Amino acid sequence: MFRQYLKIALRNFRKNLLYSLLNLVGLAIGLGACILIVLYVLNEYKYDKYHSNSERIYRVVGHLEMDGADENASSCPFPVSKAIKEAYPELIESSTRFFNGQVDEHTLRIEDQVFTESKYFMVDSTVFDIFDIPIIQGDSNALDKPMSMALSSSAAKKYFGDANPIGQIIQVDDQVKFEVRAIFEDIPAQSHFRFDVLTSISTIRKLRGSEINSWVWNPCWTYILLKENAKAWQLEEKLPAFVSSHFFDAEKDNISLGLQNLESIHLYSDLDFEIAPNSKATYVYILLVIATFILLIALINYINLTTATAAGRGREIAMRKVLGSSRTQLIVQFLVESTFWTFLALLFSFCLVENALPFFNNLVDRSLSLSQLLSDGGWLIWVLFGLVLGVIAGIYPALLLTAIRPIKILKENFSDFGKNSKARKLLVGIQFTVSSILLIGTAVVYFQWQHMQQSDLGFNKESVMVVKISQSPVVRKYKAFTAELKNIKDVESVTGMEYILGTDHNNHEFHPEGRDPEKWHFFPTMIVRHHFLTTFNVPIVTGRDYSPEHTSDEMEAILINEAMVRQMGWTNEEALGKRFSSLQGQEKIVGVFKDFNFTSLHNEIKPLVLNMKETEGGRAFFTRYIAIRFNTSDLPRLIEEVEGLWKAHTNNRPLSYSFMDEDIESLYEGEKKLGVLAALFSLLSILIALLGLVGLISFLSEQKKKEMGIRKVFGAEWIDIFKLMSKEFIGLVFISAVLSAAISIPLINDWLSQFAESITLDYLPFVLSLLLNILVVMIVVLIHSYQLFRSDPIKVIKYE
Amino acid sequence: MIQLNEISKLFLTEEIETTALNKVNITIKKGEFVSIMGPSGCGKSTLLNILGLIDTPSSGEYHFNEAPVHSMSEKQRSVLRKMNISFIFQSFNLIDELSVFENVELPLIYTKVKASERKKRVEEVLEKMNMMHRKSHFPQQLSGGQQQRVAIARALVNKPALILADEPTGNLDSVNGEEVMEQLTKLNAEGTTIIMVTHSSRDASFSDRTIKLLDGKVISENQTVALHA
Repeated sequence: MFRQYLKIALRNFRKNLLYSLLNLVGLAIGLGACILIVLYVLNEYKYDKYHSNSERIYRVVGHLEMDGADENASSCPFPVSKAIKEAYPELIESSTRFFNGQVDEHTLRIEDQVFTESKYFMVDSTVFDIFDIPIIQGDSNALDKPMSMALSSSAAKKYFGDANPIGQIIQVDDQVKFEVRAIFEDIPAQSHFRFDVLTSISTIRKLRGSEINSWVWNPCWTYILLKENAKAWQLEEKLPAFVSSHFFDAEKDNISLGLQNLESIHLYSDLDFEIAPNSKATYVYILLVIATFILLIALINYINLTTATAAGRGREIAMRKVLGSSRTQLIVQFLVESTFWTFLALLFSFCLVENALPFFNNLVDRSLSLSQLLSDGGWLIWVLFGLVLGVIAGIYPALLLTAIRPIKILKENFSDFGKNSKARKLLVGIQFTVSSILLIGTAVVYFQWQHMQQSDLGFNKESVMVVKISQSPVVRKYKAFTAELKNIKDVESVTGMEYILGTDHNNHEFHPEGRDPEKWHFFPTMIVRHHFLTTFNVPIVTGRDYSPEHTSDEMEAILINEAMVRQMGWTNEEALGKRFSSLQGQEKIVGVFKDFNFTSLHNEIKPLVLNMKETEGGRAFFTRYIAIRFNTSDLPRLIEEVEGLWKAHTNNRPLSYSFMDEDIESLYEGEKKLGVLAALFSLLSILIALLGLVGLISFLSEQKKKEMGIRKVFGAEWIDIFKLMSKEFIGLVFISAVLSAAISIPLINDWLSQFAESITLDYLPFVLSLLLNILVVMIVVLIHSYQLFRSDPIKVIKYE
Repeated sequence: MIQLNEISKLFLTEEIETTALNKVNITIKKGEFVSIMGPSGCGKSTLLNILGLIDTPSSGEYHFNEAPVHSMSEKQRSVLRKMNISFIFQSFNLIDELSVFENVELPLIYTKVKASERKKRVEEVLEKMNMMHRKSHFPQQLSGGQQQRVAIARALVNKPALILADEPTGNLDSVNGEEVMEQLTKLNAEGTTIIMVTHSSRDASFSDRTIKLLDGKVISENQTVALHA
């Protein structure tokens, strides 16, 4: 029986070859798109779960709220790790810190070879107890001693080739020499951060002679392993008491600590100073919705084309009924057919995915493979999925076709069967609505991304080269180095700064006039050097800029923005001369500058302080970047000259540089990626809907051949036939446009509310989506109505 | 009104050339009622399609009201057909999705007659065909005779100079067939030129003249003898 069902299914496929192929291809593309999304989403949820203790590993995070500063730090002060473990030994099994010196690239020197390493951290030796880091060479006590280093296998290969790395010496940032004592397996890609070089954090104590005991400075990402029976909430309950007993009196009222489970960091953490950029759960949800939409469109295609082409099967169904087949048997027949086709489509889709994966992986910056879906019994889920999909796709056509009375089909003209179906119109309407929502969403994401790219940040980010200088000899020779930079042709201005302007900032403590002198007040601050505002074209509103002519500026002068003036409740004029002293300085406000966006447009403009730092050591530590404003298009020459100077000052270290406009663009990488993915899958959904539409319209025009022939004989022109054919679909497109707008507006507004600076949702995305849908319908109808008009009416009228 | 000179029509199917019409010469005057008879495959319907401007001859000249149809473009032929010619088919060829009223209204829409005028003319012609009471019905709700009366109404509504009828009684019983022929005779009496393809000598007897075709050639042209009362 099943063999016969399949035989008939294949014969029907051959009979309606065009429609069947459109059906199959549409379903395969739809399933392929869904599989890609499922692969991506499953991968996102796998992050950090490979650690056997992942459910018990937590990151300690801090929240500071004080007089305008609102900091959600993913990191903690140095002493937290040890203190918290000692305070709650009944709950915490182990703890470790990751510290990169607040520098994202380090120089590694091996004899006369120099490397740049961005995955470098100093850690506590307990790191191997908390995380699953399999040791290949050496042992897990490798980092017990100061000056010890552990390398990942790929780092060992990179630095030492085939030579034995154990016992080798690597000098970091031309300062400390570490001995390689262990090699560990590379960290899996599904980690919220990667590390290739680990050194013992005890080295700091060895070099300084004491631990760093600041409870203010918070540069350490701190991870704890809870005891097996301990619960996170038990520790969370104790954290306020911990803050109260350990942090300084001046700040403990404004600080709170929290815990983040390791498994949730990748998708749910969006804090300040993240150890590496994370993804967002919102993007995963959006992609899942898109996958569901695509599947819906593909299924509707199948249902529509199956019921439309059922005209040719009326007699078969009627005869089977007459010959004794029950309705259930007929339903089973249709379900067997639909399941057969969905399995075939599924097979094709796996082939499509296999071929599309290199492109997709490149797009999403992942290493996805089909084996992730099919291994460990995963194939069984796909078999079940195929079965369920087959039943969903086949049940409506099966019920519809088997409900007809055989006598009706055998006596009457069965070719008209399935010609006008309200259900089909409804399904096509759903398709248009769904694809419109996707198109509108894509357009909005694109416009928002474009808006963020083109927004006036309040400073000039173009033509600025940024050179990383932290942990390099240049920090101590800043004045000499920048003086030489200024001599390079076409260099207009040079300054130094703590963070790349527009990407990030820090909070520093001050005593502002008029505030409680017993308390430190934390404000967003950027440590800068002379010519900062002029380099970035930020105007002074009141007062003056820093000036080398005022030699006391470094100790006594401070600049604030207008938002800070408002925060303090002053006027710009009142602000001038007010005391605003830092840790060791005696600063007064000498100028107020115009507000600009010093973080990404995800955040509102906050109060900001520009400070030059009072001590030479402080200036050296906090001057991490040099910004060079240039006025030339000959970038290779500029880079070459800067590099020449750099190497001369740093004993041939590699130059690490970027351009500010690109640095700022990278802040919106998440939106860009979402935009590209949304656009890709929206286009696919349109393609699938288009395939379905082509199939449906060609089938309907086949059925309407006679009617159009009659109309032509009685005077209809091509345009009349076009109008008639398009009327049905254009009406649906308009209704769908209204529905899709009603559904998408609240969703889009919700998404846009995440941005401090967002576009105003206007008619453009809706009009674009409507026009694209109309265009698609018009083109398909145009082709078919012209074919209909050109066909010979004599044949369809006379012979039937 | 119609002048066919040496009209031929060749069909090429699967590399076999078939001559449907072979140098046909026919003249039809305004107001005539002409029957075309002949066995199946003799070229009757091809001739009717060429006369109705929905098919073109392979060679020869066709003058309609002295206008040279053979040298006209498809668009010009379409305009000429719309304004002057109407059709009645054996299988009625009504559009199932349209009501009686809408079916009859169709030719007026394509000749851009105003809606108010269309309503008046459709109601007039339905009245004339005694189908006014069925104007909201759909074709499948009517008998064969009623469907053909609607088809005639549709053919008449544009007040064509020429009606081409292709076996108009072929799908009807004798009573309904007789009725249709009487309607056509009445129309002819009112001045409409009618050319009818038929197998039935009885139907042909309603016409003024019968042209007989065989193998694509005219073999005789006779005045008709009335067989009916």
